[in-house]
Amino acid sequence: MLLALASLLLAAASSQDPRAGAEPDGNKLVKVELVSERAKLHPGEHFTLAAKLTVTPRWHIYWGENPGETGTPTRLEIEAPKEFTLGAPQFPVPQRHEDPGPLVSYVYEGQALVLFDAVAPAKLEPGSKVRFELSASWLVCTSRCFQGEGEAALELECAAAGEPVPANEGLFKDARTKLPRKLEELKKLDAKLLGDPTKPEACQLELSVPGALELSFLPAEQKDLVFDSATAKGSGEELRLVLDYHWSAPPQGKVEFGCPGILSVKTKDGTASYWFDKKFLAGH
Amino acid sequence: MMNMNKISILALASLVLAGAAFATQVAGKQEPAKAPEVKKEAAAAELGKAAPAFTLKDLAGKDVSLADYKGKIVVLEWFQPGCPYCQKGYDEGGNCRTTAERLSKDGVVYLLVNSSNADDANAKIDANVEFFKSRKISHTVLMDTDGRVGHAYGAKSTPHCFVIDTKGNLAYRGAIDNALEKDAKEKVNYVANAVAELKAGKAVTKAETRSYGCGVKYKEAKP
Repeated sequence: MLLALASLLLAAASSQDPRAGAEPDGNKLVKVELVSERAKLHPGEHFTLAAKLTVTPRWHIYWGENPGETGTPTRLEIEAPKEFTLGAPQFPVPQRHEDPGPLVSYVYEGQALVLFDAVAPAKLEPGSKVRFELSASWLVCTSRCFQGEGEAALELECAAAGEPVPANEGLFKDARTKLPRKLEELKKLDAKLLGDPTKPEACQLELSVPGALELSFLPAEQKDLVFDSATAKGSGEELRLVLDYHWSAPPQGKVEFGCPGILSVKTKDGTASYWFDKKFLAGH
Repeated sequence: MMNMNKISILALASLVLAGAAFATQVAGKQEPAKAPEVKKEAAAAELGKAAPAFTLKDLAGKDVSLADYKGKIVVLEWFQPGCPYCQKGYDEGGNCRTTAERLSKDGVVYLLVNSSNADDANAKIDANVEFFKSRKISHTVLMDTDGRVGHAYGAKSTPHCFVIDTKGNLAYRGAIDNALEKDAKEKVNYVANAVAELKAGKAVTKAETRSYGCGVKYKEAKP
């Protein structure tokens, strides 16, 4: 009787939810903008564009390099006039998110700026305009998930050769602090393969950084090489991180391979993250 | 923002629930524990090894065991009705629907497994029944609300597919297809390919891929 009354009261409460019955629209849960670090473009100029993704509070989208154990990667594509050169998307360091299971995923909440380095062609007509178009797709989740997609466009004026004309300086400066650093900036990394990497059941990588208090790793998706786990072993000067992988399709012949991902190193000075792009050799 | 009416109703409901629980304890009349849906303890799934055995109830409450299909190729597809990948996948022409129909016609046993926890809307029997009724199709959905079978297979997302060969060994695990792979040049249906290779007496070339989709809504603590 009491349980029945409680159920009725809970049902009444949920029916008062102003959102009840209104299914969230995955397209509207993420706002998509395309922004530039330059207000005008000069011939041959190197510049950066950013996909600015603003996610509705309490929702998250997934890392484009690897969503983790669940979710789907956020996909971004910029279409530029063919004379322009565009680099690959540079995603900021995502947050680790854990759902019951436990299922670990790599996500963004709030705002994420994904940078694209670009180069203007040697010839640009002063006064003309160039148009860039961004298309994005994502899975956006809280306790439920919705697929979404969006587009944004940006027109920039071309100018004769001259000094760069900056725009959105603060936004881009902040965005760069959130990117993983280049691995060359980590002076004392020791990375070695353990065991025989040709064996399908064994591909272990050991990482150590002198002075590190903590090491962690977010793996990027890798064709034919499946990430299993990252385990910290030892402590102090003996601290090392062992990454376990296995081959889903064992290498044929001698192949160069990588175990890309973000290596985060905590020292007494704070935590810094690096894009781990070392290459190794596998096979016979 | 939550309005005060809602807060007071929720508070009252909580009090009533707490009272109900207290009354049950005082009277010593606890509800009987729900019978476990997996009768046999499942072992961890490994490629090339025996697929974990299970017995689960379908949407009509009937027991379905993996052992019922000895000698047949079995596909297990993790599923939840609220996931957009399952919704689109089972719409007319969707990848899950066409794969399930095609393989079922070819003598393959195609079972859907729902490991959503009992508190999740995805675990409601009505929601699962309505999902297929509204699409005018019929599929076997096995309920695994304590997540035991999902954990045994390592199911992470919906859809997440597992192909079991005629000897009962796990032959493939991963995505149903390559729809979300970066730089995929042509469509590849991994599950259909694995089944075709097994039927031809060959080993599965691509035995493992990364699944994609919504996370399985497991309950907080592992069973």
